[in-house]
Amino acid sequence: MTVTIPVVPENAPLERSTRRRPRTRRSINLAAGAVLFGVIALVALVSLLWTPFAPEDTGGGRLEPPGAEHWAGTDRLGRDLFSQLMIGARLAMAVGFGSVVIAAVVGITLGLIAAVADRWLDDTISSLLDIAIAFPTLLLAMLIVAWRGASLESAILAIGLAGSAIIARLTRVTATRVLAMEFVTASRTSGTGVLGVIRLHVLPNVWPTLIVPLALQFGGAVVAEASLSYLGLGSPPPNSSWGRMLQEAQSTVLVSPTAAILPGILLVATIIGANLLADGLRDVADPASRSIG
Amino acid sequence: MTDAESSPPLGRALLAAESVGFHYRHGEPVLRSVSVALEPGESLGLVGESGAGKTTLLRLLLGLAAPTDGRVLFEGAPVDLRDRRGMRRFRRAVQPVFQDPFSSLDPRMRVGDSIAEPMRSLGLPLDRAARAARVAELLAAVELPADAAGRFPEAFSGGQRQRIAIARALAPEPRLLLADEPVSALDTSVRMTVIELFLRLARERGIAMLLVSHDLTIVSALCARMAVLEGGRVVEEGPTARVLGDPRHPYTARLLSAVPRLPAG
Amino acid sequence: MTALLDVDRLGVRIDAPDAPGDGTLVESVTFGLEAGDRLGIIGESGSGKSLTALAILGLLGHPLRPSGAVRIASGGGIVDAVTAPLRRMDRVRGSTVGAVFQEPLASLDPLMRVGKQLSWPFAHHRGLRGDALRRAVLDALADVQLAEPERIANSYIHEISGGQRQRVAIALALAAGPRLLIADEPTTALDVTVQAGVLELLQREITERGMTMIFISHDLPVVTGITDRVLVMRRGRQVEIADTRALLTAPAEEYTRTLVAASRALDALLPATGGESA
Repeated sequence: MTVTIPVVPENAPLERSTRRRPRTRRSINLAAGAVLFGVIALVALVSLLWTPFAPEDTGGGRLEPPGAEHWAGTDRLGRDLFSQLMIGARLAMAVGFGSVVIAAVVGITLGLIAAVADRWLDDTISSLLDIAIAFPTLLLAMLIVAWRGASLESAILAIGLAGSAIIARLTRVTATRVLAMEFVTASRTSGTGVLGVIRLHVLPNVWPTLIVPLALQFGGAVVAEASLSYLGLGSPPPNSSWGRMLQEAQSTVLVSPTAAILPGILLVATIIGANLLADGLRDVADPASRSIG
Repeated sequence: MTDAESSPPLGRALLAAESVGFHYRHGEPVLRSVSVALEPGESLGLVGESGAGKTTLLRLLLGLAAPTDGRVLFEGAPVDLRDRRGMRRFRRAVQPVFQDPFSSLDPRMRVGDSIAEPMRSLGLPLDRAARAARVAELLAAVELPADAAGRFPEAFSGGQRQRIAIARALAPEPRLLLADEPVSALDTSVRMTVIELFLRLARERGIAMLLVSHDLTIVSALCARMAVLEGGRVVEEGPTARVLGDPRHPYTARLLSAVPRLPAG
Repeated sequence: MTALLDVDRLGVRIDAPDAPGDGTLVESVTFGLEAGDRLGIIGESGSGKSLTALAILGLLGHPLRPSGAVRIASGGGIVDAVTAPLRRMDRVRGSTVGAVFQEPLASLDPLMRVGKQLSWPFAHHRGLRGDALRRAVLDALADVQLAEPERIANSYIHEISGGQRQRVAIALALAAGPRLLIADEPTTALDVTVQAGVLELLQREITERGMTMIFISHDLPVVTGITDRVLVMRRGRQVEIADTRALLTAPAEEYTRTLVAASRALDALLPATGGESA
């Protein structure tokens, strides 16, 4: 059959600008977060190579105020506070990154399984996740510590597992949405198997949604570890967690306020820095323009 | 319905549905004993409104689900979703084009990678350079510039994205294209160009086409034969010109008269 | 006759830093409507036709900014939808200007039964209560040719079909007795047989009530079947405005010609009908 086709110029391709130009407040947030977090991370790195004093060195006078020799003063056993604070930074970074990695690996895996699984398996996993989310992190941490003994590893494991439940739920929801899209059907008819679909299509469209929640978990992890150490359930001395430092400095706060204030300030700075950075990451990832999630 | 108007014998057909039925676990049947067949190089249109079961039939014919009754036959043999090698051969030969150009391409994959995906997943013996060459060739076949391969779908309009989807469908050199409302989501001025593209490709490559649509004009443009689905059953079938010119079933007549027409002259 | 609607160089801009170009989405749309007119607005995706409708309804929110003037004769005076405060437009919407949109699943409340939603304009604009209110709701549902009005009134919108939903949306739009109805792609999401019924319903209601209508669509055969004048839009600009007949037989602008030609080419694929389209 013959069909006369009128000549119609096709609409020009739409080149939309995909990045939101950062508004002033956003770039201040990102810069401030980067600076705060960056300084603490730098201190943590440096502590691997050098600290003014060895942390277990009890040579200094007891509860000295900040001075030329001991920049932040000393604690009640004569140990240099500045060195302890530096190592505390290292600990905070280790806990933050370690638990985020665990939360990501465990959470994403569970979420993906739930998304592709049969109804009954999906329901089972979802129910377990709901229970896990309702379960207080600290309680879970205490159980794990009771089982494995108090240590840095136990703390990281506990906090990571506790955080994985939310990541799993988020992954499941986003992955389900992606799996319902036509390009996934097209992928299946292209011969791609389930694992291939997950690797090629699901993960790339899901991970931008996860960046911010995972980044926010960093701050939560640092607080959680500090709380555990404060309660004496974190890594045992001489590991210098800021939480433990706070707990020790409590009884002598009137005599040596800096020993109590400084760990607290650093905790707050780290958490705020991590959160501001996470907020800034939202723009960098900017899923809205490209991905589905 | 005379013999001359019914489907070809199922044994010769490239793709066929043999008394296919489908129902969800506790639901009403969506399809009831539907039989259609397509020979190599033929074009068949499946017309129906929502709830007629055409989407389900399409999924069954694409091997995305198994019928609860009857069978889907590919080159005379039943399609077995669990037979990996068989499914591979099936997928190389039978490729889809979907309705929505905005969700049928992965927004995070470059166009070239989307087009190449069937080549990789179906194990075509091509190295990276050969694949890239083929992608360029396919883009040319659908009248898109070669540099489109490096860009993301968001840079393209609906009509262009549909061309990309067609290029992807052609990648494994299929013998049958299954198109689901391929131009419904496109602007009027663009529809004819995409229809013309389908016609040209089918002619040049001898590809059979099964078109599922509620739009009679598209079926009229692209399909030599058509079947009308209502309530999960085929109610009329035959050469397109005959069915549209002289509809025998009341539903077909109703469909035809419901299409908004331009005043004559 | 006094003009019911006077659209004077209407423009719409988007106030966002990442918008392409200078953010102009609609530019210099101008037309007028007398009582009883039926105007079609036809355009492809991105033409700005829906934005124009929203501007007339005063429903453009930040970051969209209208400019120009949209003068509506309402309540004895003239209201300019571009500058009028929200509260003033609230009184215009429903009672002077009603609207039906493309997707009833989005424009109707999924958590409220149909009867309850429909009772609101009767209660608010006409002050009906109790039995009189219930009567009015059931009558409205029967008026849009819904069989079993009681059952529909008790249902949620996801429990009824697409065509039924759109009829409910029409009933809702007409409930307060507006003089102007704006229908934005009201049948695009419907099956073709259902579409025919809904279009017929719209025609009947507009005629019986002596209303004015703006019918927006991308589908030329649909628009020309239901309107006497057509405005063609492209990329935010007004290309041409002419009587329907004239537009189809002798379009003045290049773009209109190609649009009509494309529609004719598609139309020619089906056997010719006896005369005028439905």
